[in-house]
Amino acid sequence: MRVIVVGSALVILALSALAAEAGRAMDDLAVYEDWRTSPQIRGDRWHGAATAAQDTRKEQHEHRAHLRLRREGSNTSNAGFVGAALALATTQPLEVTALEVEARVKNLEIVGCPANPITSNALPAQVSLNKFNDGTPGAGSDATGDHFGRLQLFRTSASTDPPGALQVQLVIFRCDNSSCSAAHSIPNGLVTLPTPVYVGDKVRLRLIWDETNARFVGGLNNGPDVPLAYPATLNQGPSRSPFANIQVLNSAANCLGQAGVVDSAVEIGVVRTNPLAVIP
Amino acid sequence: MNTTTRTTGLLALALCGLALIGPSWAQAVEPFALYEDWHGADYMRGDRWSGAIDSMPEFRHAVHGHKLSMHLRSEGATAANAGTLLQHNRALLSTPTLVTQLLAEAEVHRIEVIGCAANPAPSIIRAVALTLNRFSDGPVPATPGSLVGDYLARLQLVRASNSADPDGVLRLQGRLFHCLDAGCIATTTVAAVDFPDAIALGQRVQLQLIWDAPNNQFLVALDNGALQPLPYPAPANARPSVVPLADVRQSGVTANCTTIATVVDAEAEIGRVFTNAAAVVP
Repeated sequence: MRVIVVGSALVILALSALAAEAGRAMDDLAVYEDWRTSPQIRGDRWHGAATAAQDTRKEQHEHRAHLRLRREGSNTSNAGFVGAALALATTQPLEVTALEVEARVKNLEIVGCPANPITSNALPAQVSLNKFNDGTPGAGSDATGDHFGRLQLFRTSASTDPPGALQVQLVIFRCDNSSCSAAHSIPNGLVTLPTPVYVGDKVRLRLIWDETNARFVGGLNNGPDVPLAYPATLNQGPSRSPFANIQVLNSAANCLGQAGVVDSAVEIGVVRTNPLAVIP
Repeated sequence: MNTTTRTTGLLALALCGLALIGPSWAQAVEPFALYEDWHGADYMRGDRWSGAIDSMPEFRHAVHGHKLSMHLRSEGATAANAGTLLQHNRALLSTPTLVTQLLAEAEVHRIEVIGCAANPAPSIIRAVALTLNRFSDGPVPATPGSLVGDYLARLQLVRASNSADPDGVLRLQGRLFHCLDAGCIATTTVAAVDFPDAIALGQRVQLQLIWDAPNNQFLVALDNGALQPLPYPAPANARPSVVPLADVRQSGVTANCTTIATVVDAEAEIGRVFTNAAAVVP
């Protein structure tokens, strides 16, 4: 099945409109970044790399951060896929226990491959907190055993959802190698929020680590906070490779002749965190 | 010494382009063939290009207006007045083991380089650079992914924060580096060529980098000027490199500084890219 989703409708909402939506969780958060204190993305607040992609962008423009990532699969095989990632990462992740991000997917193209059982997958906005380790032995920044919560927008090339719709998923992952390039969701560690979002929608993605109650909590806009618990015994101490970031992760199916494609462009607005994490 | 250069080059593409009639065919080891003109798609073709960008605040490589538009911005660390941070924004040709010749049309639009008075190491922006990594004399068996022993040939448009040149001026350098560590952060310089002419912002240039393997040298040239050799000892070419590379990139070396925010920033456009015929992806 081949699915192409393209959206480019400009929906520009005044920031004041979001302020009027303020909900309970939002009241507990402070502005980490509004893209107004510098004409560029500030190096004392943000870093992050991009891997193995074609057209790639992480830049500030008109008081937004713009993230684009295009990845094509190989056109020499009908098996496998090629993935790429781009990170907008906070510089002091140990301090971040809550992260709320205004995001708008401006454009999304997903091309799968009929002959490849692997789909092309778009994750154009992921909000992640890597906070604890399960006690797996490891030295230095070895991430093996680290656990992170993630709230993410997701669409696959095989999706039967309406055009432009993205699922909102809350997931808890365990890192399976030192760089966390391999990870799996823990048992019962995935829940899909009831309301999808659409290309062009301006949304707030909220992720909170509730250490006391051994759970992550995710929320969309002013919707209810959705808890996702993990066994308390998994938290044996701080993660060895902590991160608190906004990421794009696109994977394109390989396909003989015409490769699979995932191309996404996302606009990031105001970012809020717990007050302790704010960098003046 | 702190030097800040913030200059926006004039959009002189059209005027300069009229004067560029093509690669210097007569001087090449073999005729150049068109690898990319950015007209076949409004994005980077995955069968011709990939990318890799190190961690930094801002970056871009994307097709815009039939050019590859590139941007690198990095800021230095603030914990010390010693040391530097090296970062790259790479557009990688997909068939590096087939590339023996690389020519790119390039134009630098803007640069910003801020060094640190208390750090003896300057900040350096390489606004556009061509790289070929084809052979190695490193240990056998080689460590996968390690550049130890590899030889990186590079032709680069450079500006350092301690430059005495007027604002808005870059210099063109040919370099052959021998990699001493896995990431090729530590190197020795095997051969060097410094071109005499200053390159201005907004000036469209052709950069040529050629591997002349039979004569144990790389050749570099600016526009249709004479090819300049970067020789190496024959035993250096002991085996193919572990990490073959053929790329167009930007690099930034940012001086660490406790007192100010050091910066390297460059925006550039890449026009047509030519290679030897065998490397062309139809």
